[in-house]
Amino acid sequence: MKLYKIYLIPLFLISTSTQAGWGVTTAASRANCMNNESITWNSKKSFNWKTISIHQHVNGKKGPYWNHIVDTGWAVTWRSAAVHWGESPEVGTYRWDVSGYHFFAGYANGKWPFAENYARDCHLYDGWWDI
Amino acid sequence: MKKIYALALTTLTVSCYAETMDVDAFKAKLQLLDNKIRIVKLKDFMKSSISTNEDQIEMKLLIEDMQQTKKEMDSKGYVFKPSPYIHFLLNEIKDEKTRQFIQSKSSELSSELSNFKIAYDYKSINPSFYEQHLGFSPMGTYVNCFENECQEGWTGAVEYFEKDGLTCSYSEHNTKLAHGGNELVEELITYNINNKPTIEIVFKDTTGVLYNIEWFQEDFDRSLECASVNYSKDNLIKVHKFAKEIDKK
Repeated sequence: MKLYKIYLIPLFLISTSTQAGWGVTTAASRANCMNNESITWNSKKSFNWKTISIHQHVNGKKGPYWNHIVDTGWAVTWRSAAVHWGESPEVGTYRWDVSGYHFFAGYANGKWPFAENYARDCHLYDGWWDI
Repeated sequence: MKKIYALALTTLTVSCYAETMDVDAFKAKLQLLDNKIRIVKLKDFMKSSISTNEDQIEMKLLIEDMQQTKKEMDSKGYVFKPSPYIHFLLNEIKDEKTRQFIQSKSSELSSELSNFKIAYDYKSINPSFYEQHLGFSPMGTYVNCFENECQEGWTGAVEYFEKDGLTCSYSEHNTKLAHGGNELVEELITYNINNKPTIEIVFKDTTGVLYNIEWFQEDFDRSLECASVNYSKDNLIKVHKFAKEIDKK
């Protein structure tokens, strides 16, 4: 399966998505939600995180831009967001699969990954809330 | 304003390029540690994560930071580093009004574990262990089953409690469900918690002290973080004792 890999331009806006858990680390992916995205989050701590979000169109072989990877690279942050803004404007339709890989590197420990997840809809799952 | 720029710069990334790639080959290249624990020498830390010069620089800096942290831990017993989590434990989670406010505004915190869907049979800490329980939060990632048969829910949970003058959070994460994996540094770990690979670090800042112990076994990562206003070796001994007891729950 061929994919296109795109790293996004710097974005100085906070996403419309989400927070979860009070002072704990959570990781989520959402698809077909205006954005396709994978986000690692902790409202009270910063970590060295890297998030990779793989976006696959359900008809992925149609063209080079239909499938791609968003990689945040390593950054010390409370919110590592691999987001493709506006990639899925047809909210509520099933056009994209999103797989998220959430990595961590800290004292004596690399979580490779901390968690994986898969989404094909925009649900704010139990525990996820809009800001 | 500076803060906003700094926040944006540190939280949101990145650069722009495009190339064709194969998803399966890409995943294989990542060498994911799906529910595995790998112990490596410090010099080899996270080698599989390095794919660019930036990654290499980042890991080099991290290794230097680890060496410095170890040095400080060995000489003083703690590392002096700002840690907002100390304030969170000592002033926010401990404060009843703050807890009530959070609970009234969202379901990020609850006094009942049953208010969260956990994807496995999470066994909470026995109430006889602590003096006061301060609530539960979900953690990890949320497992969706879609049309497959599985148990939906979060891959972990956190409990907050008070015991012996310390305010603590205990986190448990199911690495089997989350497909998580750990690489640990041989020179920096101990086996102090029931002979399981263990990482110990103590942070101190102007607000207090955080005693942090994380230990690993097949299927689970567990960590205990306890805060106090002042540093004492006795507190560290207490936290060891708590961790050993909780591990047997």
